[in-house]
Amino acid sequence: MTLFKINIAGRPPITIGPESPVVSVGRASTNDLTIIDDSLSRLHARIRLMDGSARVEDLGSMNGTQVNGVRITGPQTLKPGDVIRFGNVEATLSQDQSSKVVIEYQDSPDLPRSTIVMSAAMLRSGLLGPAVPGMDRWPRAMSVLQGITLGLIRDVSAQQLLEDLVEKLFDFLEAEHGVVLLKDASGVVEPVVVRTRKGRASKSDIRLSHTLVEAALDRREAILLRDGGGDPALASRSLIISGVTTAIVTPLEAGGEVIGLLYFDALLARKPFDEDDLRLVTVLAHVAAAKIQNAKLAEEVQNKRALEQEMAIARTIQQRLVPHGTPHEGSFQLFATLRPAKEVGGDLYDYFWDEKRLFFCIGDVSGKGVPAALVMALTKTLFRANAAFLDDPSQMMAAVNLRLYEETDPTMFVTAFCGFLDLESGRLVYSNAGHDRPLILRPGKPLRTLEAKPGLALGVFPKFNYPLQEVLLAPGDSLLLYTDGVTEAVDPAMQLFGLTRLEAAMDALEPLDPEGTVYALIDAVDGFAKDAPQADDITTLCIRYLGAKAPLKPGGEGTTAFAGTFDRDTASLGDVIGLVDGFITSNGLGETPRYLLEFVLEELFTNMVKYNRQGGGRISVELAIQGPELMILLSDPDCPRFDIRSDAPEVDPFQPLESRTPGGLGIYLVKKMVDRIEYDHLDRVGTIRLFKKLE
Amino acid sequence: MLEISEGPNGEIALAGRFDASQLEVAKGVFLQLKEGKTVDFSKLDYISSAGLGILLAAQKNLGDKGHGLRLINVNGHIRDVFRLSGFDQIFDIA
Repeated sequence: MTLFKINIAGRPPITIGPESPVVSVGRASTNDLTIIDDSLSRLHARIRLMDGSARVEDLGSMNGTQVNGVRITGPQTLKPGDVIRFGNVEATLSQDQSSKVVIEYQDSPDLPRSTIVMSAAMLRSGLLGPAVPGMDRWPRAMSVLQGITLGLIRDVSAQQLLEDLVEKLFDFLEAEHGVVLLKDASGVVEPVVVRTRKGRASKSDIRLSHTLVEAALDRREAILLRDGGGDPALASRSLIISGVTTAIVTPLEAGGEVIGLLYFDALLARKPFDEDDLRLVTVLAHVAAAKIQNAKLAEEVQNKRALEQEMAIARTIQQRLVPHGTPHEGSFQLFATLRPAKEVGGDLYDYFWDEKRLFFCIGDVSGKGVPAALVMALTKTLFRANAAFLDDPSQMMAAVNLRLYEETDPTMFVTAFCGFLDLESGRLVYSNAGHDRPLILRPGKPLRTLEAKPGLALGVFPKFNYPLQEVLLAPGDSLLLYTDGVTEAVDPAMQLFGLTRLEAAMDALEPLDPEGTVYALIDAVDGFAKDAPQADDITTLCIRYLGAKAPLKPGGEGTTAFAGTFDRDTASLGDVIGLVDGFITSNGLGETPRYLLEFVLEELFTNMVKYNRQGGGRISVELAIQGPELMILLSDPDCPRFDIRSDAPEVDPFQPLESRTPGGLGIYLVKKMVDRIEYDHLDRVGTIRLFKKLE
Repeated sequence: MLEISEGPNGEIALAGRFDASQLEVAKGVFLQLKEGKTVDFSKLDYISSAGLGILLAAQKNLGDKGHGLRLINVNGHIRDVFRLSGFDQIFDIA
């Protein structure tokens, strides 16, 4: 079986063999071998197994593929030791070789007189010729040997071979007991075949001489006890169990290790075992040991291959569980990647959309590998199922949480972030369940972290009120979500990439489409980690909101209302103005309404903050076109009554300079600018609506 | 952002948004003035009542109208704000 491996420093080797005859190499995560390096093309090269050889082929990459320093121009056959260069990344090809079974015997003459110790050399010479001429049992011994040896090459399980062996030797030796002991994984010998006069028996039916067993195991000697009962030295050492006078113990050795032993004994009534018996048993022990070793190796290889194959399939399935591509729907662009640290991982993301809204989620299951991957699949499915009939992210979190709590191990939990983006207004409603807060990239503005309450990871506690929050994305804004595999990536000195480096990398970034943004982030992480192995799954999801698809005329049917809630802080003014931008752009409005909206919102919002700093909750703002009018709404959820129509100071625009003060000027101007104002105050919620006829 | 620079003829040139977030920058310039100046509004997009407050304080510091600020190239929207507030009567708007 030919197996090749592609070895790249710091990464697990990739196998090319009958199970995986083609390995694609490139920067895209869809490759079998993904190498995140600028010098590689997305789809760079392919290595395939052909007629027992590995052949490499460049797939039109930018920087080419070299073999031993020479750029290849067509498919080239590789040999073990070849150095392949994909762009600037070097790989070597090696060939897999299976290890050989080694059996060793050691002589040790230091035993009581009545025992005989045989070496492998003695056994070979003894069996090649008639060691005991004229021995009438010899033809029978040969037939036993032949039958057992055939089992070695036939498709018989090791257990079956051992049972046949004991059965045949038991008859041949006219033994009282026949036992095969094998060491288990922890090195303890356990009987795997037990034969007594009464037929096969469980291990409680036989008492072995542990002194003999230990002598064989520790000294690795084939021991013949002719007449234990007559040997005072042995008798005094409690070698002999009641009635037993003769015994053979021979170790099963494979790969230089004692893996178990064969044991036969007989009663006083029978004549003692002789050297020929020992020869036969010892030779058959060779056969059995080789069979066991081969079976074990074959099983290991098979298991490993089956596991590798299954993991490769699992990886493919997992990658298919999450959507791919670069959706570009006029009102948004999106790109996401999931790169597990192992073949499969516990990160997840999902998204889907209709004309009105985009749903997305990202999550990270505690732990790695297969257990995490199973919960990942469950979590992703639960999100998808709930998103079909829920449009409130906090309710979705609660629903997914409850099912995860009920259906997974108590130690499993999932951090997640999900949201709906209204594609017309840019209004993003979201909920966080213990996940890293997403970043907002706005062209020309410093990077922001989305204000998100931490929430509690999913699957921890059955009833939890997940926070519901919202923000307004302006056209051009990108939302970048990631899992902690990004911030917890380590360099060779085990330093963490960290939030600071992440923010620095993203803040310095020129505005890019989501794919560019995601790869810029991954490149930054990989550039930092260098050849340190990936510690955790790395998942990134980036959404760029482009604004409503088709701006409509003011007053017309289907104009777009914009709404947002804002921190009670004058620093929120930038976001409030962002809302105006989106509203103006989406509805195709001109500069005059823009000025009006900006002015009214700034003056009133500033006033609300300034005169009600101790108020609780966020101030909400809504902008809409109602019939022929522009409607501006501001609402403070926790404020004393203040009706600007009656409670604001009057300003005389005709007073002389000396008596003028800036106080009240803003409110005065707002009142002058709009056509009418409505105000209500109920349960400390103050709401003002201002209307202005559109020209 | 509000940008404040000196124009080719020694005038103060404003650009961008003159709002509540820009008060400290603007105070540093306008409240230090010792004599009347021309202020070029041609690149100013927006002014809020906070901006008006600074201009008012500067105008008061500079005393009577003859030695105050002279505003040039004031765009339509900002001109409306000045008119509505009666500021067009206390500034020389060209």
